[in-house]
Amino acid sequence: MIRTIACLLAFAGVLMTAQGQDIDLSHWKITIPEGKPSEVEPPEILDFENNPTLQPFFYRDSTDSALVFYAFPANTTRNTKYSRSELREQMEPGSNKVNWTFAQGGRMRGTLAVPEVTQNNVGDYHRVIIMQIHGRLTNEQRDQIGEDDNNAPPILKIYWDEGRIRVKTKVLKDPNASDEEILHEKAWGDDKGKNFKEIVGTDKFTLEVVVSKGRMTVTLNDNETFVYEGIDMERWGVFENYFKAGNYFQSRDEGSFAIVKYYELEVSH
Amino acid sequence: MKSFFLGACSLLLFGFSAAAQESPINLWNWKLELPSGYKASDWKLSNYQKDRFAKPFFHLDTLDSAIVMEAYPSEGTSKSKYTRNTLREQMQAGSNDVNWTMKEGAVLEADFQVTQMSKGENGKYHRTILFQIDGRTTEKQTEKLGLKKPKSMPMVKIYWQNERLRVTRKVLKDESMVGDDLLLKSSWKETESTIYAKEKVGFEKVHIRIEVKKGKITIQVNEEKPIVFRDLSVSQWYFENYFTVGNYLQSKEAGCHSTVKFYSLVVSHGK
Repeated sequence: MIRTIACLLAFAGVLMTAQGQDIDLSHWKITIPEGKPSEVEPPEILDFENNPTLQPFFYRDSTDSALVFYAFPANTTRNTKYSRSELREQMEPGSNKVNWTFAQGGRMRGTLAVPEVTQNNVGDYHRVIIMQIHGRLTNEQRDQIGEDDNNAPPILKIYWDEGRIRVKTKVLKDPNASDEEILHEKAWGDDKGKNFKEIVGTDKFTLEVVVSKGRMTVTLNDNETFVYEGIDMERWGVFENYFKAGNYFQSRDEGSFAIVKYYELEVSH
Repeated sequence: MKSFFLGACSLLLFGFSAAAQESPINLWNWKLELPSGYKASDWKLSNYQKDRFAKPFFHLDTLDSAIVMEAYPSEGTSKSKYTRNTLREQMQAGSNDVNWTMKEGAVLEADFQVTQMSKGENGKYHRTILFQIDGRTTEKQTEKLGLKKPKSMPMVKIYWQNERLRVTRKVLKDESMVGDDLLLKSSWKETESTIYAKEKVGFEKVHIRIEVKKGKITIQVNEEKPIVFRDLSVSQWYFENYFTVGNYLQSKEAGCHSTVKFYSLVVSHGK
């Protein structure tokens, strides 16, 4: 009996190892909530397991080989108030300059879990953004509207929210706004957001995001799909975008933290 | 030995979820509200054994495999009139918007025990509401009444009162009433003569079965002859409904405290 179980365990271990090691980091940059905060790009990121700075925030779980993202309120990046241990897509490894438009399209698929999250002072679980599509101004757009950086709003934010998966997107406050007006962050408001029916809790789940011209879909566990199309998606076509995946932790409460584990993550264009 | 190793394996594989003991009640389709104002449903509620905010009021008694619901006043965000520790049925996990009609019907069965009840200044026990059938306006009715959001109104309440189970319900003020007037709160009143289950249940374990079916409500306590409501006030109840179960202590006095144990709780529909 003991031998059988040992075999089973070993087998399970092999399966899991194979899964976690599937994640190819050659097109991702990691940001951790320490330092200014710190960022590590390809090719250095490929050696993350030997990077002591990354270790507490971004590491491989030796029991299930998952990539672990740990975040707590600490240092934040520009334009943000929360801290993160999060991957940012880099189509060109080591550079933020090459990104994609909706017309070019993109697909991100991840298998992940949120095994640990703290609660606030009334018992609500802290929220975590686990995937995003972030907009980005080209240098021309940036100069055109007189901004000093390339920041544009995120068109997609996927939250872990008390065991549910919640999807939020952006809508134009004025659908008739001019082409230049919609380059401004303030032209876009949040939609109401919606939750998938299936509740994931701390279990593993799969999310797939598919983008094409004027259209964005988000699918949970290959089962339930939210489709976004219409004027907002069409006009978002003006922006370049990049994917994000990991743990963008939505709390500044003292002592709070969250752990997100990715078992699989792939992007294609 | 075998089970020990299996246990060890599952701990290794699913560490986080394996630590809690199996709950005697499946809580996935309930929403908990505590005297502190804390709320939890589906996953969050099912995770109660590891939730330090739930623990003071809602915890598992591992010795006799019961969920213990404690009600005592607490600081917090609760908007309830009294000290609320209740589970609200959610047919669709996490949502208040899916409920059942009288026609669809429902059966609730539970084994419970009031194990502690404080006394008021008058020397009498405080009372608590253990079970309710709550009506709620449907989307259409909400619109018709010009309300911004659905309104709820309890149809049946079952109290633990002076060591006995007392049943009250809403009845029509005027049985000749028809149409949209039936949807108005002002058309209904609490029954004047209340009904008690025959036996004194005191602090003993009790089995209860509440059935709603075809214009009839049947409440059976242990092996007693059931209490039956079958009249216009039942057949003209056009709201959607949900069960509320727990320990809604009808006091906010300092020092009031009641404890109710639930050994089982099962709800079914359309049978």
